[in-house]
Amino acid sequence: MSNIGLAFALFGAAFAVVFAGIGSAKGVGLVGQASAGALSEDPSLFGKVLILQLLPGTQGLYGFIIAIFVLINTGVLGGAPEAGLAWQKGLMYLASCLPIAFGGLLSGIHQGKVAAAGVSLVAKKPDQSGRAITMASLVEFYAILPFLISFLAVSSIKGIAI
Amino acid sequence: MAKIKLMHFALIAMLEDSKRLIDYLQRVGVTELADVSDDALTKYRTGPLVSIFEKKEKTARQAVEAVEHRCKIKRTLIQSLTDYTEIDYHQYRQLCEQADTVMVDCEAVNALTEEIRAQKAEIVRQRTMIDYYRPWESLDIPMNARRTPTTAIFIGLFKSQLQREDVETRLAQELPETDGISVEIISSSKLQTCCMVLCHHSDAEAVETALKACGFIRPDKPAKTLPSAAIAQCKAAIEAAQQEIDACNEAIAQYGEQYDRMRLLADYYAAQKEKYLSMEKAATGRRTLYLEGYVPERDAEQLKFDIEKRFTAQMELDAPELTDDVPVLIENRDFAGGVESITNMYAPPSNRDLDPNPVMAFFYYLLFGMMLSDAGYGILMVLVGLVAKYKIKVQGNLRKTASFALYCGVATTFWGVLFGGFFGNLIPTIRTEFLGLDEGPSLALWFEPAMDSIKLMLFSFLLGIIHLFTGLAIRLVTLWKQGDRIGAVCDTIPIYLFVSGFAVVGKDFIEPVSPQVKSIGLYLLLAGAVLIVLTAGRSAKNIFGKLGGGVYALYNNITGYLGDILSYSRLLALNLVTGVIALVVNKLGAMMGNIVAFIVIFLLGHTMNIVINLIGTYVHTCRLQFVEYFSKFYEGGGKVFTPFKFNLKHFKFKEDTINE
Repeated sequence: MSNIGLAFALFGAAFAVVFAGIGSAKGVGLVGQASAGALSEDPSLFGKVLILQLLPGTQGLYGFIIAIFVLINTGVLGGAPEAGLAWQKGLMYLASCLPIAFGGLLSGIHQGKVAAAGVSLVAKKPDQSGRAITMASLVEFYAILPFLISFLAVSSIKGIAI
Repeated sequence: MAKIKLMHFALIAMLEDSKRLIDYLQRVGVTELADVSDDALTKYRTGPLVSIFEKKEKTARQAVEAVEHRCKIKRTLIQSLTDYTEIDYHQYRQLCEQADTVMVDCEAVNALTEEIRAQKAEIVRQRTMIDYYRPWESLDIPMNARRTPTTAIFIGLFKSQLQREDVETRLAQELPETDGISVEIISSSKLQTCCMVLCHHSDAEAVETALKACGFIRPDKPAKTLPSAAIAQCKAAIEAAQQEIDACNEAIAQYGEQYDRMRLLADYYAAQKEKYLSMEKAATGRRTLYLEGYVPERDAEQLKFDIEKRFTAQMELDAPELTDDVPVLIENRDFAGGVESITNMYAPPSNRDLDPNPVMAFFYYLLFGMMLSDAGYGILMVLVGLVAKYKIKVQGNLRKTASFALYCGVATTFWGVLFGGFFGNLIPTIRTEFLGLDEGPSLALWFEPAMDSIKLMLFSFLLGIIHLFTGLAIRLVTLWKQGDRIGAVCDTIPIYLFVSGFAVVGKDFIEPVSPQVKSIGLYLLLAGAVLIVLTAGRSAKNIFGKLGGGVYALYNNITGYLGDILSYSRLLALNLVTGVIALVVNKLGAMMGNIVAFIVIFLLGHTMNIVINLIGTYVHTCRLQFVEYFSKFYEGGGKVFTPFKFNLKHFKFKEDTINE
């Protein structure tokens, strides 16, 4: 049972990567389908459409970074795993990962929807790509906020004395 | 350099000069024509001509594409970036006089391309037929044979996989008393069974009915010959079509030397189209031509002089009243020019706006650099920008993009040095993994973001407040210049006070400040709040409306500015993203423990990191400009000044020949 803390922490890392990753995968997938449709009409839009497609990809990245930080702080990556990681601390890591896990999941999907609608806007009016990008990036902010909270929380757990 | 003043002009010339005059304006290329609407004058109707030119341009471009494709004219990336040929105007005119002969060639090329397309379709058709005959290949009589003198022949198929016995059994069940039916299976697959059934011709009708009852169908396109002969015929047809295609390709390749003339022809028709489109804006009297439009002030006098010297014409210049119909000409040098396209993506400046580009450029590069903040990536961007600008010498919009990359790169390097990022933690990694040393001193001139993220977050907010305040300052200047001095002061000063106080109090929540500073902050906050309540509702009619509007504005400002400032936390987030991914890449490389694998992972990983983060950083900096910054002062929605000129795709006139 001495590893239970580490197990909790790894659960947290897995949550962050998996859920934020699902959000991004769904989002990027949605925009990809819309993009393929738009490109069949006008292949020259590729550059503009590509930016829109990549936008919902950042959630996965945020989840990935949080997971990396958990792995580094618990010593799984680059060093010896902290075998005696207290279960309380493990749970703290798990809790810290939840914001980006679920924030990333939902904001990724919704950003994908907005960006996909943006693709159809760009297909009709290519000069509006700036606005389409701005609209999609408004959703992004709600992935950045959970990311920051997860990040601040994960980076401060090591210093807590139990 | 910023906004260029435009003059309005009105031009009267003799009608017989009209073509030459418009040609001349197109050649000089400094004017934008405006629509003349006057009931007393007649308008040109050039619609049909325009569509003819459009069609001809399309024909020529198609031919160019075909020749390019067949002659394998390949251009490197660098060539295609600077792909234009310099010609002088006389050469252009000479070539244009031969337009019709070149057009004949273009049409010939297009006819050949069409023929190739037809032959390719033919090949597909023949292949389908071969697939159709293939199951019948072993049949040794023509497929449409129905009878011999004594027998009836049924050639056809069942839509299922059957053996000979299956067919025979089913026929025997249908026709128990008939004898002498011979069944031969020609081919059988999961989808269909092809077979031939023979019987005495007196039984023909009965057998046919029985077969139909079993699901027997005759082929819908039977060959009149042996199936194997039909297949051979199809193959011959494919061979012939292929030869035809080769011949056509060769014929097109013959036009290789016409390539440049065809390209020029396409450009010529595009210019003609443009010209006749512009003609629609002019108006004519019985003997005169009347034009109106805009010209940059610096070119105006020279243009007037030149036109009046060359033509029997009179040109009047005056300063236009700055309404929305008047186009806006923005010109910036490298530094601010780089972000022009980003501003225009939001909306081009209107006549009421100041040119936002110079100030925005400074902040754009600053914020961009802070998010990417890796000296290694920054140096790469600087190199790309420098090579594009000074080695390849790209022109026009690409040149602006090159400046953009250059300055973003400089800023990225600057922040990278402050935060100690050089391809992530490349130097410490090499020291520890390959040289066996310790990590060495921190490379950061200032501090490492991952070590002290709270500090960076506060700094991001501070930078955000400066950014927002600059936006407000521009609003102050704009309103002041427009004469709304009360608005200029009331819409900005209280917010300055309020947000400054708010920032101090907010900082105190995270990291305590000294009591004196805190009390100053509180007073600023209060003063700002009171001033907002008192002034923001000033447009309402009665005192309740004024106060109500003020309180509402206070609420809006609190939520608005809080959201705006928090939004700058993305500076921290994206900064961390670049750094951490770079760190992971280096770590993965080092784990391989061998220098070759390290280099491979290093190259792949950092390329990916650069691509992903360049796009992310670009988008998020744009968002900070568009949503947080522009909303403070910028209206946009102007018409970009687009001069009437030769928009040649592949050619460029030598400078000195324009005024001949």
